[in-house]
Amino acid sequence: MSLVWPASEAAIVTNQPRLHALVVGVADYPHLNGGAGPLALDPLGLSQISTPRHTAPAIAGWLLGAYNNPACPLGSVELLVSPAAQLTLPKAGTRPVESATRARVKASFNRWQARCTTRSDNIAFFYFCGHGLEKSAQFLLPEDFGDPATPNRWENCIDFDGMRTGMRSCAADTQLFFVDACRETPFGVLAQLNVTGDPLITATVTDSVNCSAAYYATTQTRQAYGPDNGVTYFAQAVLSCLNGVAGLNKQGRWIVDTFSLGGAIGQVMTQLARRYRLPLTCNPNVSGMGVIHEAASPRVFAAVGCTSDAANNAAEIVLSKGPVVIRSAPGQVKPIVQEVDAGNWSIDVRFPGGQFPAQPPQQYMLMPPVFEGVPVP
Amino acid sequence: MPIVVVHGVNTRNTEPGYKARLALITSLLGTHLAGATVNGKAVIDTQPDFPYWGDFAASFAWDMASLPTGQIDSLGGGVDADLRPLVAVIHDALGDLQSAQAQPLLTLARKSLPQSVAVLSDALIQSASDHDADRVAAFVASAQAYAEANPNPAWVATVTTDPQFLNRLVTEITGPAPSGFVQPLGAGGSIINALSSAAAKLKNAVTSAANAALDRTGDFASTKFLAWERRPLNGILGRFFGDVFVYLDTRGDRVNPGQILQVIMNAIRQAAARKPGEPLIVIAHSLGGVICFDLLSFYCPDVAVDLFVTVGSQVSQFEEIKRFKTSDPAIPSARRPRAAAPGNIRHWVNVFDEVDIFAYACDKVFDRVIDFRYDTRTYTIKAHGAYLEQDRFYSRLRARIDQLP
Repeated sequence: MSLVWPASEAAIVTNQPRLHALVVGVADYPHLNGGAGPLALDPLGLSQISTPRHTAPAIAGWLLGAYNNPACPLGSVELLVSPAAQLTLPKAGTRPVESATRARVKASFNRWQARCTTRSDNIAFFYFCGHGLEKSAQFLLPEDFGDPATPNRWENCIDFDGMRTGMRSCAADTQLFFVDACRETPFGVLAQLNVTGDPLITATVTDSVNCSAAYYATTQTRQAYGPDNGVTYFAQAVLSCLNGVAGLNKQGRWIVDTFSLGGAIGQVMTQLARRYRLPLTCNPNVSGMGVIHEAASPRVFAAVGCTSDAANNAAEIVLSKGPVVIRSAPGQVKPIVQEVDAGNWSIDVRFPGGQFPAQPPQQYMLMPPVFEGVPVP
Repeated sequence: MPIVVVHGVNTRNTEPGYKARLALITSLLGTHLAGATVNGKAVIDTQPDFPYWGDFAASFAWDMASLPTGQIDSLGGGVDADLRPLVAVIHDALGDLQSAQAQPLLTLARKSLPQSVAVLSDALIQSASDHDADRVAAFVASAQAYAEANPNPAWVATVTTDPQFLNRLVTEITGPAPSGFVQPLGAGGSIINALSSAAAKLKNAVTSAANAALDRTGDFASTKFLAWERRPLNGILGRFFGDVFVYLDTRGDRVNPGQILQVIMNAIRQAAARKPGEPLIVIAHSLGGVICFDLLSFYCPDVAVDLFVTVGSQVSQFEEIKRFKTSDPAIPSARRPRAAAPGNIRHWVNVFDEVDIFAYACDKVFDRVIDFRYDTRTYTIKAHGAYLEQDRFYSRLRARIDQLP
């Protein structure tokens, strides 16, 4: 069973506004390079990956443990992770989680969609982490993609664009889609004449949705990344933003909405690209305003460094706020890129070797989403 | 830079894959010549110099409009001229193209992985863009080394399509992704896209050739018609003789050497001066060997070359017709049956494939030259351009170098 919370279908609240989530992570592809099953007729250069195994539980864990929206509390979480695993999650405890074959994704999608469509003030939350391809549409690959036993090699493939369009027929007026996957077009896909995928749902021309926000982990033709055996960089950015980096002060509450999330993810991915020296990017595609989450407090992605490599190499940088002190010694990686509490911070840039003039500590007000500093050599 | 590689006829830096070919030669030299000892001096810096003289070679006022076209040209079945030699290799290896239509590279690999990798490498290099040259060259070098070391791997029997074959080959060569590193949610910058594209073009060419043969007499898909089809052969010969004529007409004299000689002369002198502690090695292909022989024997006899390697070259042919500045019409004679190798060349190795119609043996014409027969495992026209792009060539050359006194 892919429903990880609440404990049973009967316990799901459908007569009040709720956020219903479907989270899919695919790390095991038996028919791709290095897989345990018969090799796809064209594996497209795709291999086994590890990041979705960590990313999908992290997202589900955040929903179960941190999601806060008084107007639309958490209603249900469907989770599929390949390979299947025993996972420990907030609220849900330790339980088996099924693998993300196309059939299971389809069945989970159907249940999730049925819950979402019960009320217009529901929030539909979809997160996919795994291999992705793009040609005429964005395609998401479930575990059994490429099974050579099926003459239609696209049978086990999900058409995300079709799904997002089809979701217009779902009554939930706020729909959030996170595509943590690549958007490349491998030559093998380009050479195929009738590339297609299952949209899972259809819509008519009269269907519409108030707020449909899609957040892609990368731009078209590019790759998404993650540290081996860790949470993807995109998911790290999403979680930071939900936790307050994307917060806007609305009547004293730090609200993350569809637009603030898109802007903040872009800013954070830029800083992560600096920190990890990777070609990280993202592509928010937001139509319509929807409140997602109320963060406990504002957070900031701080990127603090000097304006030249020479100064960065010679500098000792110390950020401090009360008892919290973050320090980078000469020769250590700069800029400091770290998520911190918003508020007044002291930033002290010193040059122990005397290569540059000493700077007195400066006070800065760090506010979401990003702080970049400081204007010293 | 103690290694200078001089190209031969028919080389233009505007041709597809030019930069990838240089990158491949650089990679293979680094793999096989590093640490070699010549004249008691160790080769440390293997980054070669590539003097380019194509800008001063033959040009064609009507862009070879004089090449005949018509019925015979159409017998190629729409196969791109650059791919015809590769189709011919597949045909020769398998005996027919029909059986190779569906999965040409895999079918060839089941017979000979090195041959399949050679065809794939050539197709890949042909389509390599300049910005991808280093990556393509690195892959080709690795693939050739792998195929030489594993000519009949068991896994070839377990795959059923060309894409599977390519994916598995890449996996075998590169190994699993190392743990602890950044992981893409896609092909990960793999070479597979370039390989797939090259393989698709090749498959298209094989299919076209096979079907064209069937459409006509059922027997035209032969090496002769695919590789010797008149238009590309005329083109190759036209450029060959064009470059020869231009060189001979413009080479000048010692006081005013021609531009082609100047380019190569400068490169060799600079290489000699740059690393005086390392051996100076000049590797010259085709007409490049003729030019270098002329240069070392007449234009700059003061430059001491530790090892001169002529590859698929016509040096002895030019000496037979007495076209070098130093050629002596009185040789051969009873007293001097062979011409002398220039004294400033310490060792001279001449490499030729017996099926390369542009390559000549030297040891019956010159003294002190070591002839080295090398099988490119191709044929006729294809052989002439194959030597320097084969991993095996460098490993054999290294073995020869290690045997030098």
